[in-house]
Amino acid sequence: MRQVLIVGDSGVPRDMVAAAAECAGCAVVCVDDMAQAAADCKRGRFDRVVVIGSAPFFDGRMSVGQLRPCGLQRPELYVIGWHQSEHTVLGLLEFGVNQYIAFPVNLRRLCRKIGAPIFRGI
Amino acid sequence: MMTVIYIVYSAVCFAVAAALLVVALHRACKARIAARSERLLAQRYVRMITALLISDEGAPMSRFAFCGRRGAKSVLARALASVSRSTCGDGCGVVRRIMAANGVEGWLLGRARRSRGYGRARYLSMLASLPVSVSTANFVGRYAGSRNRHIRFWAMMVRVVADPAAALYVLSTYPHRFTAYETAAITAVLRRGLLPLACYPLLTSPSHNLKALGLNIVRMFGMADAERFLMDIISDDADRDDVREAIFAVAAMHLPVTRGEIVARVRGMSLSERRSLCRRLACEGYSASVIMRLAANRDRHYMETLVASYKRSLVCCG
Repeated sequence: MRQVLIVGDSGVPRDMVAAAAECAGCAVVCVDDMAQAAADCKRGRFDRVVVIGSAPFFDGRMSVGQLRPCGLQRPELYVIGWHQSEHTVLGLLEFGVNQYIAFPVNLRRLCRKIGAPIFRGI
Repeated sequence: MMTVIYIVYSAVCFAVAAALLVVALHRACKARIAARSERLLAQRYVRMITALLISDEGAPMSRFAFCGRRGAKSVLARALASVSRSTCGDGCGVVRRIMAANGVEGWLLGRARRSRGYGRARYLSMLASLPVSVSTANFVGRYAGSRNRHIRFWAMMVRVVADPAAALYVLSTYPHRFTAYETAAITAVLRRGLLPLACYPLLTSPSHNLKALGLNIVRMFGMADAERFLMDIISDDADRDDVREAIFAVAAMHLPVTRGEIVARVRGMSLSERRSLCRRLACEGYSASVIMRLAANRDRHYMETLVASYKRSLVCCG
């Protein structure tokens, strides 16, 4: 069973993504902020981290290195946000995010993406 | 005797104060428990709706648990509206069946009828997020002439969502100019794939509202292909608001802003509009030399400092 960590303020988007991950057969842990997520990533072995909102990556305090040890492919980092501008999406991908998914989401596609096999690298 | 009266008086005061405190504490605890149970119920409903949307088997829907409870229908309506706003795809049928099984549409309509002002606008905005029937849209048509701009806008949105084929007509005949918030609300519906609107016909439309919507789409999706249409608006359009929005759209896509048409239009702008544009250009990362060509003489020093500050923050973030 894949372990998924969902990061975001408690609310409808987080509950919705958590339900989609559960439908995909994943074990889900939800946290409120990135600091908690970084601490949980150090302790636990998550396969995927889903961050709701792109703001945590733009204030300069959080880097992908805090969630994923340098040189490793795991956990995969997905970001779900409302931005659709090419610059923002490219910025996130260059930052190390594996996938950017824009709201409004297609729940079935989201379910497939979260439940997809983990990329193990070459 | 006076001492006894004083003691009795103090005791009564103390008893009344203690009773009031107990009542207040009881009410606070009750409100807290109610808020918590509402939050848990909302969480439960969101999870149920999501699961149904993912595993749509076309089976008849049963009534949701606790839906008969006081306040539960409001929680369900909010959960349905929120999930619908954040999702796209072929889930309209499922949402429609959930609404029919739990009587959400009629309940929202009744609440909208009984409420006034912003309360009514709130219920109409929830209705506009859901796949409502044409009869509901016809019913809310009575609010189209409301004095409250939120009510008349959301009544129009209910009509747009109920009959997407007539969206273009309804939007173009709306008698008031859309605010930035209203344009964003329409774009959010458009992003869900509910409205059959193409961007370029909107940009060439004579209606100000449709043009504003088109410009918003161009800015949101960064459609560099629309440059030709934007330059047409900048050079030919008589409406100052449209021209200003078109110049902002050009800036949002980081296209050249020192062309003759744009410079001529910027010179005709008021000082505050010009300053606002220069601030936007600085924010978008345009160089100082470009901004200096568009800034008014008295603003040049301010713009130099502004650009320096933006550049410094960009370097620090990197």
